Amino acid sequence: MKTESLRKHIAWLGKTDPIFKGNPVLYLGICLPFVIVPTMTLKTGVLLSALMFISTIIPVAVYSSIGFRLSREIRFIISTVISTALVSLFFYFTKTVFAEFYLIVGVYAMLFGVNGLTIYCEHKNEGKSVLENISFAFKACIGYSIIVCFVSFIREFLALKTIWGQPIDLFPVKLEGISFPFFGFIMLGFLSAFFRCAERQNRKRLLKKAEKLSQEREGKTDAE
Amino acid sequence: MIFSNNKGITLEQYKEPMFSKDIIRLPVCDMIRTQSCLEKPKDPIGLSSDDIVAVCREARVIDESDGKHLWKKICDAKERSISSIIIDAIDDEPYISSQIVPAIRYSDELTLGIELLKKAVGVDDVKLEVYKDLAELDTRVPEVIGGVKVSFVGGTYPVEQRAHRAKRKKNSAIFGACSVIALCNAVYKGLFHATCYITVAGDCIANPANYEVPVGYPLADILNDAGLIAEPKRVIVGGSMTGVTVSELDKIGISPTTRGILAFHDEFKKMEESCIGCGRCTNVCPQGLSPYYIYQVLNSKSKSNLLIFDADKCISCGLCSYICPAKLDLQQTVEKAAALTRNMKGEKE
Amino acid sequence: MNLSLQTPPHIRSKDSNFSMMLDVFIALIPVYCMSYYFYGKRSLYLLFLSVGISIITDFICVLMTRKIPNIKDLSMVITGMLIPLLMPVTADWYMVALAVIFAIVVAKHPFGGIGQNVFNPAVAGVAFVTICFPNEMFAYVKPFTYLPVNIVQSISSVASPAKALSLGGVPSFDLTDMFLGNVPGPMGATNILVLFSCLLYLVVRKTITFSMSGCFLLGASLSALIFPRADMTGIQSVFYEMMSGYMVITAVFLINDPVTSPKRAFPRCLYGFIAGIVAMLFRHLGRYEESILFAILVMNASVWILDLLGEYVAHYYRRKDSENRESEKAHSMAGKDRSDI
Repeated sequence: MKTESLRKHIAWLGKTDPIFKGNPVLYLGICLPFVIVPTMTLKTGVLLSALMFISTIIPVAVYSSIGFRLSREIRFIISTVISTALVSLFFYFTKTVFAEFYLIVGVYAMLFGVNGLTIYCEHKNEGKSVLENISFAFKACIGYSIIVCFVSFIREFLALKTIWGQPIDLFPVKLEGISFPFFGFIMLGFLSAFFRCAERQNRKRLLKKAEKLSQEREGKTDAE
Repeated sequence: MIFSNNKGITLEQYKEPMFSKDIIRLPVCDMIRTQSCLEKPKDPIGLSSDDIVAVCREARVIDESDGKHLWKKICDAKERSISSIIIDAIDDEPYISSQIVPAIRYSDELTLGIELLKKAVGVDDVKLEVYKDLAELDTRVPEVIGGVKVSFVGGTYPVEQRAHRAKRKKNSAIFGACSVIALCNAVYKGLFHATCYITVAGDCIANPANYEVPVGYPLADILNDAGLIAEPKRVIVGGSMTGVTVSELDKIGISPTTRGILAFHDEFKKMEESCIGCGRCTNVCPQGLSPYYIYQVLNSKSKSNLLIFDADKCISCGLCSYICPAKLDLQQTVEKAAALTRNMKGEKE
Repeated sequence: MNLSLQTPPHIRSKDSNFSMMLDVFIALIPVYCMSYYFYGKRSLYLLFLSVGISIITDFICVLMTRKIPNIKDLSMVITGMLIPLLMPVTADWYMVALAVIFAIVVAKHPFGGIGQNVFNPAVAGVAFVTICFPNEMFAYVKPFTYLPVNIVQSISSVASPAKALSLGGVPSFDLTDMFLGNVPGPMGATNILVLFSCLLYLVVRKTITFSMSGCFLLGASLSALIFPRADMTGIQSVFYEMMSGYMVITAVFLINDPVTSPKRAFPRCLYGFIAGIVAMLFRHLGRYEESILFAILVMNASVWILDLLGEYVAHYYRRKDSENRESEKAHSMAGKDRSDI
């Protein structure tokens, strides 16, 4: 028997699907290169999240509104063209302000035009309304941004001993090896295992509570 | 060298002190010998081939290497018109010496038995095969046993299985040494095949030796006669590599194909650890299989690529489990995989 | 009588996991004796530190994966003993600790624990520390410099033969000195004579087979012979390359790890040979003065291909063997039919 709290928890998981339970980076491995290679500092992490928001939400809105009339291939081409155009415009207008970050991010900035998150959002929400599509894409981008910002924060803290550019002396040693891509893979593996473990423990705890409650209720009816 | 399939290792034999002791005949056997008597033929030397087969059939002589009736084997050999006879005194499993020791101690009976066999089957070419790598023995194996020059068969374990499989190639028939002795006893002394030879050994036995026991004698009585100095944890009927553990001793009796009884003090089940991937099982398998990969595939979820490992070629010699340093139960794993492979191949067809 | 039922075979060989790992442990003791002779107490201090941290970390990780800790499992002790041998004696305590923690927490247990790891944990740990502290990892001192356990003042470091070779020059050390370990270098990797005797001991005890080490040294020697790194003849280059850096300690201890190497004989020889060539390639093109560890990691990742190749080849030979046997059986049966008529 499921208690109120377990039911609420499952409903909440369903609503925040792309952020926690079905996080596209940790559970499905989508857009891994963007999380592993260019996330050196927190500022570049924020820039990557901004690029992802730009290159996902507007194309999703566009093709979910006109898409059902066209075939799948034409939908992909339209979304790619739109996202590449948006990313190029963003780069053109901000290249002087964020010059050093574009140096770190490198070619991955333009690759956002063809990221896999757009295809994932379209596949998951085929045939649903425009508003549902946009809200799912928004949540997916938030899920992606959380992971990107966390990974870049850890890497900046351990490898460069700064947070947001300010030097910090909490950790005694500078581990330059963490800024290499292979450590990004290792961190993602550990994060994914941690998320799965946390979800499993939470579910177990709620199920145990439900069983205890149902046993108490049966005991009461027997006594009556 | 690298691609050879005939691998395997030579096992340590531990055949002493059973090898050098006399065969202990239990008092019950003498009683049986006086009671059971066939009609002794008057002229044993002048018997024809059919007469020998008839005596053999009446005495119910059973061959200890494969459990078949000796008269049936003789008739089968005559039909196949074989060209040579092989007397099997190979004892390649550790601790067991229940074919070679009677052959040495009763070599006169063996000589007479071989003459009868030659006449019965109708060939002159006889070979007596003995395992070559018997090291650390106190008595030497003689060059001539039973009037026949001994041919020493070497090679890695399992030697006896390989010899049995090669007999068809050589167009010969294999007869166990103890059954030849029983044939001589049947013709010359008129005795039924009512007693057989087994090795009783192990670290719980007070008097390890080769014993002559009646067929059907209970296991519990055998262990009492041999004497127990410690309570055994495992009692094994058969060879040390291919035998079976038993738990109810008074309900099991000796048969002519029982090669030995072993009683050990220690158990292996509790020593199982995790596989370290040393690869010794792969290097040692005489069929060229890879028990390491079969073990990994069976422990994983998808068994789709099991067919490439050819698990159904396993001959259950037990070398992979013997050599594994983590004491894993590899032989059972490979046999399970063999059953799965046969199922999958059957489904394909 | 309380008898237990077990499956055949009923006798087992005398070797066990514990005895194999004990052999490697015993083979490492002379190497530590030599490092104590050359560098004093600090080498033993690093040994005890790394073994202690590895035991504690492994214990915690095993409990976290919900398995029962096994006292007879010496694998983390071996990892803990191998890591300081690849480091200079001036290494700080946090470098050793970081290498051990990385080796056990990242390179061993996430892949499945003992028996399932893809990468050699000691090699992965030391490679990580090499990337993090590239200057401190190669700060060697002259032999017979006895440093205190707590290094307070800064030590001036000396160039090792590997550094000279990586810069394209001929090392200024005598070959006999390099053979006996009288040169600056990692704590345990300089004394070639002791390492070869450890190899002999392990081969005689049948813990390892000589094929993999031999093919590794053969592959590396061939590459050194044909492409010398400095201005010297091929033979001279072979001797200098073999005796400098991590080459021999890799051939004896790091490449022979049973878990991370192929299982059949033919893939093993191939693996050793290719590993030797890749090691020399990394030495030519690597940016650190000693990059063999990365070559070993790359080869560890390719073991599954070599094993699959070995299995396909064995399958082909088994099929041919059974086809031959069946055709012989058919011939003998046909012969029998003819004779019956």
